[in-house]
Amino acid sequence: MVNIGFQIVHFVITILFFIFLVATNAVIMVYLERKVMALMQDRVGPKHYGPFGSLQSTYDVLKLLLKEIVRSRETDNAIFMLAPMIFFAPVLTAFVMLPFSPFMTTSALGTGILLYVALSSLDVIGVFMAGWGSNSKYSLIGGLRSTAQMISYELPLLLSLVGVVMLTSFVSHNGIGSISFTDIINAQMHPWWLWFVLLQPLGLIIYYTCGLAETNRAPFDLPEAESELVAGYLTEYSGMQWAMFFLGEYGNMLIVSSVATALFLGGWSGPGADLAFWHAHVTANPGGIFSVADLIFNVIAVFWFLVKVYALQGIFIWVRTTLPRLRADQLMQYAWLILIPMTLLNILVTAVLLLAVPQPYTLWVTGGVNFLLLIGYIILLTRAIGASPKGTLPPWVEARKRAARTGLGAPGLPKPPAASLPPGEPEPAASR
Amino acid sequence: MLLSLNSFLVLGALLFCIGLFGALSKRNAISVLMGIEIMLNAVNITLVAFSSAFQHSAHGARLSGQVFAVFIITVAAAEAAVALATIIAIYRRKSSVDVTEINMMKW
Amino acid sequence: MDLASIVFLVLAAILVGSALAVVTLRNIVHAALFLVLVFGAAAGIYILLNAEFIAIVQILVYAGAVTILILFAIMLTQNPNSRGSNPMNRQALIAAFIAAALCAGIIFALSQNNAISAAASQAVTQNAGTAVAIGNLLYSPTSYSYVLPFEIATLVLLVAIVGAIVIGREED
Repeated sequence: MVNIGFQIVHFVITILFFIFLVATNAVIMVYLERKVMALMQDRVGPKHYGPFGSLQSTYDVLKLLLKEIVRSRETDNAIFMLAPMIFFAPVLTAFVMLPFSPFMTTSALGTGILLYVALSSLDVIGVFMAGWGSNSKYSLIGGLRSTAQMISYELPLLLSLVGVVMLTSFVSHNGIGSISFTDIINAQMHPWWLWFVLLQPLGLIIYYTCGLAETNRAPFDLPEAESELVAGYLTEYSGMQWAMFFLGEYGNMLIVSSVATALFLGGWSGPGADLAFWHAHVTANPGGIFSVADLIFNVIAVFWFLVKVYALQGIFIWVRTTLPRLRADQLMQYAWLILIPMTLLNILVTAVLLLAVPQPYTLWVTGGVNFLLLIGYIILLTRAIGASPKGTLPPWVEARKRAARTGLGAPGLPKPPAASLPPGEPEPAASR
Repeated sequence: MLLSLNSFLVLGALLFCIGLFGALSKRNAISVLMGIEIMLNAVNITLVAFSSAFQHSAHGARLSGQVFAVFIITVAAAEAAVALATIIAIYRRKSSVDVTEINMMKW
Repeated sequence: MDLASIVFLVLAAILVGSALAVVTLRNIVHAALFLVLVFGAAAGIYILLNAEFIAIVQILVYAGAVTILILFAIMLTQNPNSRGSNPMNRQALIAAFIAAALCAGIIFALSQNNAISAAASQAVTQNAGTAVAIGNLLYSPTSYSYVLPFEIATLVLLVAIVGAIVIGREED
């Protein structure tokens, strides 16, 4: 019987560690985002507080903590108050399954990937509650857009990870794959540079795109498109509640990057991260839980993990400064017509190749074909982006034409009784 | 003994009856659907409890209860999708989701 | 009383309480949000029963997908007055009576049946409900498995997707 007191202390320390990790990461990322964006846009960026303005985001946090929480009158109170917490809780929980190094794991959960996807699907409820509870048009529109976007991109996100799981079943000795993060990282260790990004580059690209959409980052940030929707579901929030949403968003970025690191970039593997090597060369052992060799290895492993994570988060910033925002219907079409068929094709091709190609060439052929698929995907994407919009109509015009043709109302709106239309009013579609 | 099979079965029974009450007593069709989802969850709890309690039985049957739960979850998802699509289609015709007013097939 | 029993009691209380809230609340959005709590607490019960895979699938499918579907349906069929959007019908009293009678009957039967209470005397113990074991039982081509029902379930899902799209889209 494990001591309950020890479990509780373990639990509290873990939670505190993750909260500080998320908060610190958010502060660092806000500063980096402003500084890097300024660099890319030929500006200076924050410069007044601290060296190179590095204390700017700390001051921002202090300001947010001291701000009053404003509430408009007719909100649905319980939902409004709970929404930021429900948005933040799954983000915090998701850190449970991440292995930062072989020694720094919270749980040996056998179902890591599934848990990650399940928790990231829970975020949607917080967003919906924020949109609904605010009792504001902009919030509701933003919340519904965001909900639709997040559940649409959930599917390709999950499907893009299937290729990796199939690869683990090929690499493992007994032919049984794994969906636990530690096992998948270990599967990329022989040799240490055989990361799954070399075999599944398309998977990484699609996963990363879906990660951008899941975290509501540019170019998929239209739920909170500042120039059209004020701030989407965040419109009515202020002070610490607003900061909670932002903490959740930056925590989500950290998780997406960490998962991509673990599944595609080999996790903690890198030059020097070799436990056997350090055990062979460092023999000093002052006693205690860790030996010196373990400690050195642990530091190097965490270093490589963090380097990869922050490189990926840097790409978040880079993408934000580079790409313009998508339109709502383009967003949906991109998920359903391009990403999902691409991931299904990827699964099919990978499965067939892993079964059909004889042993010594399997990984070479799989990786090569996947690179070809990636090139095809990029060509498809450029064709889709460059396609001429000539002859297409805005969605609302289409909806009106359809409504006029069928005599039914727009979707979701009750059909107005015929008698209530004032006589002489032209049919809506007749004006076109 | 609180963690025995019986306490899980009682929990399942309670949940099932609450769901049944919801499914029988509501006017809003979506609410009826929510009651049915609660009933399905109650059945899942009983199945998983049985699979946990009879784990020492013959060959592969050990986890059969959990596999049944997976199937029930699958079918419940399909059912929810079709039912909600039907509700929205009916709403578009009648601009109402009150099950007592949906009597097109009654005479 | 050990930790597991306390956790069970708390989860059961949340489960029954939020299920009651789902069927009694007047505001349907609140009812749907309590449904999330029902699903989450049920996932907790599964973890208590060492069925971690089922618990995660439960969160993924029910809390993540079905609830969102329900919330979307509520949004699309909106009532101007959301406070009274979830009324009872005339049979509510009879329904309550039937449900209570059924519940009493099941619990009475559970307390009477010797076969079940004999099996119940052994506590619910550790069980390796891992994803690998369930995967083998679901679609192992060689050993005892449910591969045919699994394929049929995929067909059911496919039919449901197509059916939902056909039913739900506006007629042109």
